[in-house]
Amino acid sequence: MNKKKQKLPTIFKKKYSEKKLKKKILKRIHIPKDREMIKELFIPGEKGKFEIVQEIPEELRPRLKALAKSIKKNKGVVTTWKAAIILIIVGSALVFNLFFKDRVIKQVLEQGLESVFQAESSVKKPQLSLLKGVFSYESLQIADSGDLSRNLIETGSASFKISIAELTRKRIHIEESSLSGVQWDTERETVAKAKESKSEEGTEGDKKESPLDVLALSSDEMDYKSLLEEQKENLKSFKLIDSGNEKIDAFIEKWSGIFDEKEKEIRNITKEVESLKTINPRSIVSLDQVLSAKDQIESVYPKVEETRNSLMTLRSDFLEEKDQLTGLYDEVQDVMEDDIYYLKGLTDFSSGDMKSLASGAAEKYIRKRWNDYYEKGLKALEVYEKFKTTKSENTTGDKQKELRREGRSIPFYSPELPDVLVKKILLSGGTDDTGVMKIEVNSLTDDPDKLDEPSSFQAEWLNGSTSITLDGIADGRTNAQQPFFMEILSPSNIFEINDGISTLQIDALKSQADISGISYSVPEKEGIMTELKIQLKDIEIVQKDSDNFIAEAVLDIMSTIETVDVEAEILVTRSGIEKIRVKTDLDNILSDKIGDYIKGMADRYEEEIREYLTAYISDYLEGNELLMSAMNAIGADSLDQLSSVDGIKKLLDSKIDEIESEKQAIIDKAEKLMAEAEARIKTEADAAEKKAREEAARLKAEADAAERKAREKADKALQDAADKVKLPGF
Amino acid sequence: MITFIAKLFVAMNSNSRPSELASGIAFGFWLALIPGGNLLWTALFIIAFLLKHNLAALLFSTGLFKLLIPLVDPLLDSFGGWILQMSALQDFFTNLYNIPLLPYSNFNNTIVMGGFITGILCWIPVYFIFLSLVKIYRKKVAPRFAENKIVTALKKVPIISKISKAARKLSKFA
Repeated sequence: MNKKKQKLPTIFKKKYSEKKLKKKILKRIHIPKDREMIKELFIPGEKGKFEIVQEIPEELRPRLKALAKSIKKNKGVVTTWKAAIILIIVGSALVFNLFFKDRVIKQVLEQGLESVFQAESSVKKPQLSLLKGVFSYESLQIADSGDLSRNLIETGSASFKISIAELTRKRIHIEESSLSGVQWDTERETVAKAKESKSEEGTEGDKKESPLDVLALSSDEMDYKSLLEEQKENLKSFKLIDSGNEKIDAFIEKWSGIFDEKEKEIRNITKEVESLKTINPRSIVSLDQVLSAKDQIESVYPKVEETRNSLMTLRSDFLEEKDQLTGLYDEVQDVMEDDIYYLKGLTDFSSGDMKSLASGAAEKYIRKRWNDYYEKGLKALEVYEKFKTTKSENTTGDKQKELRREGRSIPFYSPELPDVLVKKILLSGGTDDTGVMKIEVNSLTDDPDKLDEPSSFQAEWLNGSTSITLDGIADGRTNAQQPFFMEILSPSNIFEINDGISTLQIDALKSQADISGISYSVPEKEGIMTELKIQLKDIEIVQKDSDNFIAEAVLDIMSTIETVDVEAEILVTRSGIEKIRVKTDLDNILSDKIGDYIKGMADRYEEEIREYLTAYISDYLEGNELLMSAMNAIGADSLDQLSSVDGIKKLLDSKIDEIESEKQAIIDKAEKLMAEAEARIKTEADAAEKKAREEAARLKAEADAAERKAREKADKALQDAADKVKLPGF
Repeated sequence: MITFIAKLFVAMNSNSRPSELASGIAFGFWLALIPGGNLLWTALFIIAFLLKHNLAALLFSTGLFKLLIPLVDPLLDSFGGWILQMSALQDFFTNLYNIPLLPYSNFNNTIVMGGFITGILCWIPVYFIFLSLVKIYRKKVAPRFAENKIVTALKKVPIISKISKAARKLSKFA
């Protein structure tokens, strides 16, 4: 089979001068081996021009074909296909700009809004001019994911103009941003298509009982018994009674036992004493009998004395404890007075220090309205947070990819303009039903220090004769005197409390209200304080039960007063509404007029409460009565015991006295006898003595006579002897 | 990656201009030096893309050097900072900063500036080094390579054969 000869590429069919061969072919062959091959194939022909040999080996033909291709490719410095790609891109951009741009933007916007709001969204006639930096649309509708037959938001035409010149300098300056015909919660012409939605069940706010609800009791509803039962935990007297009753029980138990013991002891002593009664002092005749009786009595006496002393000590202790319990009772009485005062406080609305009726009602109203605004704000914040989270997630992803250092940005001078500046935002919308609003925000920036003026805003809402005007500044500049300040002016508003004020027997209230106020930042609390002054006039009230005294009084007051001033202070921080304080002169008016009645009512309640409480406490103090009777009984017993012991003692004492007297009689008798005996003895002794003396005197006389006689005899003898005997020399 | 390697292999062995390969590698090195995500890198990439380089060499070298450049980031940071803070150039940079679109280049970032200037300084040496290497390869290594028995044996290794097949496939279009 003959193979078909491969055609020789045109580039090799041509004849070249030596110079052209080098320039057009050889220089474009960069593989030495191929270059040598071509050199060999081209031979000089006529007129010195080089041409390829006639007989080219068949195996070289594919190689020549590839070479021809590469030679062609190696021409020039720009690749054709790359240029074509660039051209296609540029062309596509132009075509996109001219024909598809708006359609693509519509698609992107709608899909973006649907992903954020989870509901069908539509944007009509969006237009984008890249060169002018203008984006606008005719209308926008975002359905409510919770109710597909309604729109969450609907706007009319919108226009955003960005400065391209500033954008090329990496600064976003929005010259003007206007949005008109903004309306919330409008009805859709067609029901929106359901989107994949996260069903967020509306969480019912915790229904906390407001202080007003506690106070909002009509006179009919006021039941002091239920009030007492309700407040039982808060009443000190009840607690004291409970603890007192326990003490009383313990007291009775303790002293009953003690006195029973003593009773037995006394009984034993009595028996012993009874035995002493048998002693009859009159029958005592001797001292031995006296002493024996006395010993018998004195052996019982110390026991009686000891029992008496212990009874005295016990009685003293008993009385002391009894006094304590009696003091407890007095304390209960005092505490009860405090409780009555406390309970009275709950029923007394006349005092300015107490919760005020009108203020309370106004606070409830303001809190509700403010909460609505706050919740709306939170909803907006939720959407923003969602957007921010998505954005931050993307940013994190980018950062994770980046392995390199971030480097430092060296700042160079550029005109002192902020990176982000929104010169003007115009927002308007609403309907005749909801009112028409207009908002203008100026000079909104990320770097307030680079602007000479603070951000300012004006808002106006008109609904028939009712209007609200806000005018404020938000000065974010360093050392700004007032970072945020807003003036509120809202004359001729309709002020309605459809729920009524039950405490004032008002079922509904409607009036004209002139509202003015200021709002300012509170840096230390990181919040905004709003001070409002509301003047109510042309007040109309609806009362179903007008027979009631309060109702009559309120009606009377309302028909006489022309205006009511309400002052409110609202502090909103990151954590929500931190404080709402409402004052109104209606409180003073009411307290003047109704105060007396309320006071009387409170006094009446006080009496009733006092009676009830006393009865209630009496029930609780049944134990106390028991105590009193028990104490009295114990006291009487102890006294009886004491008196019986004293009787015994007396008996013993009389016995002793009797015995003593008997003893004395015996002693006296003995003494008398003794005296008589002594006297007789003395007489006898005296007589004996006399006799003895006489005898002695006689004997003495006899002795003396004998002596004298003897002496005379002796003297004579001596004389005789002397006479007979003569001594030599004499 | 295998396709890139194969394309580069084909380019090395085909009749493509050595300068295209060398400039591709030099531009790849330059692009690797500058952190991405700014107008300067984008502009440089578009220029590199439009010029007649070997795209495989450009992308392969960018990827390869991107792995290594973070190691010299501290040097680029210091170098860029030194340039940006040169008092003689302050007016120039200030004017540059106020020219529309140029702020998007992030040239006032130390690493961007360091990478950019290092790229300019290194472009010519890198170009000539790789130009010489390609020429040497084609003149001396490639012929021996083709006839070498080891290379022939290596071609039978799965990964190498895969590259070889890809190269053959590509060479048909080259």
